[in-house]
Amino acid sequence: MTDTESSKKILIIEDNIGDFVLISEYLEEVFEKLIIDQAKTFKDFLSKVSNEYDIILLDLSLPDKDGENLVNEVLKFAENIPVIVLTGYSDKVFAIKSISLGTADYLLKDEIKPDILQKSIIYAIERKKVFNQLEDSEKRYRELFHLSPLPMYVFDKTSFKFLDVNRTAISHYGYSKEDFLDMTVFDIRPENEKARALDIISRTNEGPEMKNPGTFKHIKKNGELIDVEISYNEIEFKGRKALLVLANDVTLKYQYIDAIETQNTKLKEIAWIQSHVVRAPLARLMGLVNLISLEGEDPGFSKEDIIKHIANSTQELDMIIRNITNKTEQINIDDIQ
Amino acid sequence: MKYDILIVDDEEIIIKLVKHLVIKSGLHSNPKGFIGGIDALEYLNALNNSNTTQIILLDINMPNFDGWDFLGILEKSQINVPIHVIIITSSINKSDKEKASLFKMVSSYIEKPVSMQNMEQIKELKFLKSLSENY
Repeated sequence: MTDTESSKKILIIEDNIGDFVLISEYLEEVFEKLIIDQAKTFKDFLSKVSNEYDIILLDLSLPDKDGENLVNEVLKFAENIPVIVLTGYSDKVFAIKSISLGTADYLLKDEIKPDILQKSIIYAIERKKVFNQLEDSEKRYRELFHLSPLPMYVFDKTSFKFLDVNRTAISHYGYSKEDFLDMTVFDIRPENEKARALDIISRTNEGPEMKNPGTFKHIKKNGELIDVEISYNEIEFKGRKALLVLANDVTLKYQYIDAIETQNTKLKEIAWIQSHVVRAPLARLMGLVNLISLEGEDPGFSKEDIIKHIANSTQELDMIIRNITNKTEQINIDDIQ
Repeated sequence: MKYDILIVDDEEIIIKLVKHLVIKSGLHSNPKGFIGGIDALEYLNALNNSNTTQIILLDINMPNFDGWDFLGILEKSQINVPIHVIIITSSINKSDKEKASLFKMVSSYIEKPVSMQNMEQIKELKFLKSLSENY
């Protein structure tokens, strides 16, 4: 909480001793616990800025720097500390402009009163706090993107150009970030998939929900073709309509599925062989055994006939079993690297 | 007899064996054997318009022209003879049995090897019993 009672550490950048004393008096009037430092020049400011101030009050004309240049430099080194500009009437127009450069507020020296000063300072500190939180959360989201273990990229919805890629995408596809930013999303696809990708991109309606249009082919820099499962969201990226895409490489998964399907086909073939081909000579053998057991009857077969058929059937059976063994040996799922 | 028995198989030894069982069981005194379905179809075609029921003991797994081909052509043909098909196969695949049940003409399904017991089962088939009663 910022309030008038907690201790404030304030840096006043002001070369005019009269103004400095006046402002200091005002401050002491409205803040109970107070540490005030003075910087008389920009150079002086540089030597003191590393101290953790709550707020910086900046006069627009210093002996060694002034105007826009001064504001920009001070803001650069102040980083997260809010800066309030103090100025005279003559500089009012520029003081207003300084807000757009990033200062928190401007105060006209001739109008300053203790309560106006207090309000401006408290307001500036509070706003900066919220702003810093926003910046932190934005940074966290950026890290989520850049440190994701899965390839992610952002591209412009109308020009199809890559706007940002994460580290995993760079290492996975082999293109540098600069390469990517020079390319469109069609440059990483084979010819026969470009129309399909375009169709999905242009059909996408705005909406916050994640979309999963399925699996696509992408090409790495080294020419390798990969299967990727795509999920994406509509986002606004630096003022442009863009898509944030996550591309999960499932090439290996697909290879495994292929291998398993091939194996299944072979197993089915083997099952079919068992049922039809193996059982044929076996059933014949069983029939022949039945024949032999019909002793004393004359079914019209000679003993030689029966023996010849038994021999043929056993040889056939032997061949079939060799074939099955051969087929089984073709199934090797461990070959996938 | 009011019916004929035709045995269709690609192996002569099986035909001989089944013939022997048919005769011995008293199912029929003179069953006819055909090596392959084409010969059997020609025979049926020549029989056209006969009233005598033809019971076909049909093997499924035959080279070139198998039992399914035979059934397919028979269903579409103009042969105007009462026909009952009993499938005799070495297959023990469930899918073959299901496929066989899709053909109206198929009355029964026997797994090889064929035994005397199978002959008794054939005798018990409804259509055959009614044929015998009318006789």
